[in-house]
This record gives sequence, structure tokens and C-alpha cells, in this order.
Amino acid sequence: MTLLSIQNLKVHFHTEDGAVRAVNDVDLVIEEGETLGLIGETGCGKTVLGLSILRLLSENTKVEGKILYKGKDLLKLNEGEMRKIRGKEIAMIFQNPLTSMNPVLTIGTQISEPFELHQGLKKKDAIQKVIAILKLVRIPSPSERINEYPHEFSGGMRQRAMIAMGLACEPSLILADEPTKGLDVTIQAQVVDLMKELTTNSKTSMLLITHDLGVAAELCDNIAVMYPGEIVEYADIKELFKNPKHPYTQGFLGSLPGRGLKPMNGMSPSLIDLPEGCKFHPRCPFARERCKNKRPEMVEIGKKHFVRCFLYD
Amino acid sequence: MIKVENLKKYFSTGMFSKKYVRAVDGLSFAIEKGETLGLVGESGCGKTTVGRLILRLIEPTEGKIFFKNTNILELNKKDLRKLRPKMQIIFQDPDSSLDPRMKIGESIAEPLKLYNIVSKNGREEKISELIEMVGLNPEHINRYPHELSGGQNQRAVIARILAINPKFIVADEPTSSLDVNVQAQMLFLLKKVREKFGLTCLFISHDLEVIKVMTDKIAVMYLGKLVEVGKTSDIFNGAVHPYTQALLSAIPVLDPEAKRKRIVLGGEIPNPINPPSGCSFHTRCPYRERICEIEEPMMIDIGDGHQVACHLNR
Repeated sequence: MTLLSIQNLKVHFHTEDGAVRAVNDVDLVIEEGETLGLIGETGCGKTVLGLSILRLLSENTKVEGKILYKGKDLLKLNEGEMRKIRGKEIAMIFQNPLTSMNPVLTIGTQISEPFELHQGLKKKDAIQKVIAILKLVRIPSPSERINEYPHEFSGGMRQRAMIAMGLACEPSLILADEPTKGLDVTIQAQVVDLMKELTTNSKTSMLLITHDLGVAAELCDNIAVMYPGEIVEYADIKELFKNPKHPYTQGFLGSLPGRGLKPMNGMSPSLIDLPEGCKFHPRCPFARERCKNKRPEMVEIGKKHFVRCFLYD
Repeated sequence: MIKVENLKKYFSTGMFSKKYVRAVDGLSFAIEKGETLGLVGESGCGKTTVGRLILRLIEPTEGKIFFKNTNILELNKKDLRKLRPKMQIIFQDPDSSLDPRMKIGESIAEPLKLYNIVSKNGREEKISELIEMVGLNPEHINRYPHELSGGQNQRAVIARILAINPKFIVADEPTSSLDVNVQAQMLFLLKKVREKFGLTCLFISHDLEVIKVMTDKIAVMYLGKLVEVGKTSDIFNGAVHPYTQALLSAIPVLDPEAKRKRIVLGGEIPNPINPPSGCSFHTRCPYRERICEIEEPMMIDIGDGHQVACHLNR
């Protein structure tokens, strides 16, 4: 069953330097129980795409298209209806728990908030639930640690508390934005294992936003590769690693230390100053004349494998 | 080229009762000429402190540091200043390594002036040469750091370092703030200049994938101490210390179909103010025995320069 369907999404906003075209004509589908990886480099618009689903972007943002969640268009809901979705139906795990948590509230108070808000529990009962969920994410002696503040937790524990907060109301969809960024490898392994455990045998779906293909390889069923503002390739995880088709995906994989360390030329364009035609053409080794003027459409080249490139036209 | 003996650095902390953070606790290792040693460990293990100690940017509590047979800890200020251009460091954050009010060209000119390496007339030519070598465009000479990307600034830092012909470079997480592709470009550049200038390097990183492609030897650090040292290929093919094994198994594998056992370590790194007794890793070690809690293991050579400090390998 389709849980979330993003159709023709455009997100633009104005800054002093000019119009930022962060997301352009993006189509994505997330099925129930699926983990979709959204892969891309810094500044490609992947975080903006995630934030637009929960409508967490600032007022001056222009959002067009449809974001259908269980058939309802989130972009048409009023603020009150949206508030019932946030945290309860769709939860977000942010990349920096220290800035996403309230520094003057104890961990217990913060995580109990969604229980009180969405499930109408009394404080005392909510706290019991918090202890249970902290146990689930393996925080040692949770009944004592709920009285501590975020700064008293280590980085890995904070990230796990953040995950606990996201899971609190058993949402149908989790948006996880770089959940392991800045963690040490052994702690990252703990968090990845935890997320794997929580998503594999449940109906919970996840959109994992990351630049780390290693983490994506462990957690995702399907991958969408983003290059400034648009999706350039979509495939299931095995296919993408075995058979990458878009020149950018090939270059991205090839630049990893474990896969050859062959860097691509140049840098990703800025979202303020996107090139015409195919966004990748200035760096593409296969670029031809028409790549400069015309934007390629997404074509299906295999079972559930889509590429936006004229090479496969 | 570089030899370190029993290096220690304790930081004092606490306002009323003095406590000591044992950031570096008795390190010994050597780096041969032209070789790159990778120093690996998690945050807080003291690896950055080691990098700074070796260049004497901070003073050690105890120990000896030899640069080509000179103990640099015995040098006075004047002699140390003479030695400085030979030993340089690339920091993690390029933006804070450059003066924000100086144009890139001026930043690169600084060391040339300071050490009087080329005459005033030749300076501009030298700067263009360096800029080109690190893959920047001539137009970048007149730009300020905030106008360039992180990767470009890191290139400028490398150009500035190369300006004074160093022999030994400490690279402290030089690519950890960069995107994958920019990281690949940077590592490529580092490899190129390392070869061209015949540099000896200490490469500090928590990223084992990067370490694997950049180094000849690896030293694994845990809580201020070395637990395993060996050739890069030996460590990756046959790590002996349980901590090294766990670190290696924690690297996410770039193959969704790979099946493997991962050793997930429980718990967190203990506080270095109050490190565990005996082997400092015993609190997280899946194979610990009684002796590990009591006695600190010695570094033992298990052949071909592969050293390990673990009671299980007696």
C-alpha cells in the first residue's frame, strides 16, 4: 500500500542572493513498511525536501505540487490538522540532537510531550511510557536518566533519545535526516543496528536522508539519488550498487574510498544558479549538445529502475 | 624521520581538587622517511593531542620526540623556529585556518615572506605555481576565504604549507568536513603532493575507509594508549586486538548483499579522568578475562612489526 506519494513537488524560496530552487518536479513514492534512501551531497535540497513533507519551512517558501499521505494532500491541510500529523503520524529525527532538543527541559519531559499531546496521557503515565521507550533504544538505567538534561547525555545517547522521541507515538512514517552524522563508527554501528531492528519487522516506513551510502546500504530497500533539486536515478538498493546508470551515480559511487577513489570533476552547482538542460551536463563525461538545452525526462530502463539521462532515451 | 618515546600529556582540570585527564598516556612509535602513518581512534581518544604534541604546539608532560635525531623538546625557541617550516599541520576546519581578512594569495605569501624563501620579485610567480599545483584557478588569488567553498579553502591551506617546503606533515582529519566527491579530490591531491615532495605524514582520522587508502602503517588508539600497530594491509586483513576488530567491523559495507558478523560494542568510551584499571578496554571487550581487569597488557611484537597490547595474545 502506498503511504506517501509526492507528486510534481516544487520548493522555491527567496533569499538576498536570489531565488533558491531547492526542489524541482520531484516525484517519489514510499510504500508501507519501506525504507527509502534519499542520497545526495551537501546543498542538493534533500533536507528541504524532507522538511517540506512536514511543512516545517519558513513562510516565504513557495511550495507547489502534491504530497499525498494516506490519500490526503498535506499541502492543503490547515495548521491545526497538520499539528495532528506531526509527531503522531509522521515523525522526524533531526541530524543534530543537541540543537533539536530543548536544553532547559529534562529528557523525560521532552519525550513525554508527544504522549500527553497526542494520546492525552497524564504526566505520570506518560513518564512510564518514556522509560519503556528509552529501554527500547537501550539507554542504561532509564528511570534515573529521564531526570537528566540533553547536555548530560553523550552524543550517541542523545541520538538514541532523539530516535526514541521520534518513535514515541508509533508513527507510520519516520523522516530521518542524517541520523548518524557526527557519531563515532562504533556508536554509529549501534544506532544503525537499532534503526534496522526497529524498521525491518514493523509496518513503519522511513525516509532516510543521507550522504553516507554505507549507512544507506544497510538500511534501505530503495534509493533515490538527488542532484541539485531533482531526482536523477531511482532503483532498489541491490540494483543501484550493482548497476548504476546515471553518470552522476556512477561518479558518486566511484569517488568513495572503498570503490576506487576516483573523483569527479568540478563541484555541484548552487541551487541559486542551476544550469540549463540536464543539471549534470557541465561535469558529465558523456554530455552532448542536447544535454545543454533540454532537461531529460525520467525513463524506466528496467524493473523499478528509473534514470533521468539522455543516454538511455 | 619521527620517533616518539613514552609520550604523555595530562591536562589538569577541576577548580578545587586537581584531577588529571590522561589524554595521551605513554605512546611510542616511529615513522620512517616517506612513510604515512595513520592514527585511528574515536573522538576523545587523544589522537588530535598527539598531532599537536609532535609539532610541539603544546608541551607534553613527559616523553621524547625525535625529528631526524634531534629531540625537539630540548630545543630553545630560536632553534624550534628554524625547525618549524619543516614540520607542518593541516587542520580539520580549513575556514578557521585561514585569516578571514586576508585574500587567498596574501595568506600563501605570508610564509614566503616570513621565512624569506623567494625574493619579493619571484613571489607572485611562486604563488601562481602553488595555486595551480593544488588545483585552484588564478582568479582565486584575489578572493577571500568566505568566497570559496570548504574544499577550495583546504586546497589553499595545502598550497600555503607547500610554500615552505615541509618534510613532515600532520594531517588532522583533513577531509572530515567535506562531501564525498570533494573528499576524493582532496585525498587525490594529498597523494599527489606527498609523492612529489617525498613527504612523511601522520594522518589522523576516525574514517577507516580513508585510512585504508592513504596510509602505509596504522596505529590504533584507545583512551590515550596504543592498542595495535602494524602495516595497513596486515591490520585490515588480520586485526588482532578486539577493539581494532570491532572498529573494522563497524565500517558500513558498500554492498547491500554482504552478509557478515558485526561486533557491536556495548557502552561508551570511559572517562579519561578515571580510566578503567588493567586494560582500559576491558569494560567494553567481549572477550575479557580476570587478568584484563587487574593487569595492564604490554605491547608485544607478533611478527613483521605488527604489535598488539592484549592479554589474549600472550
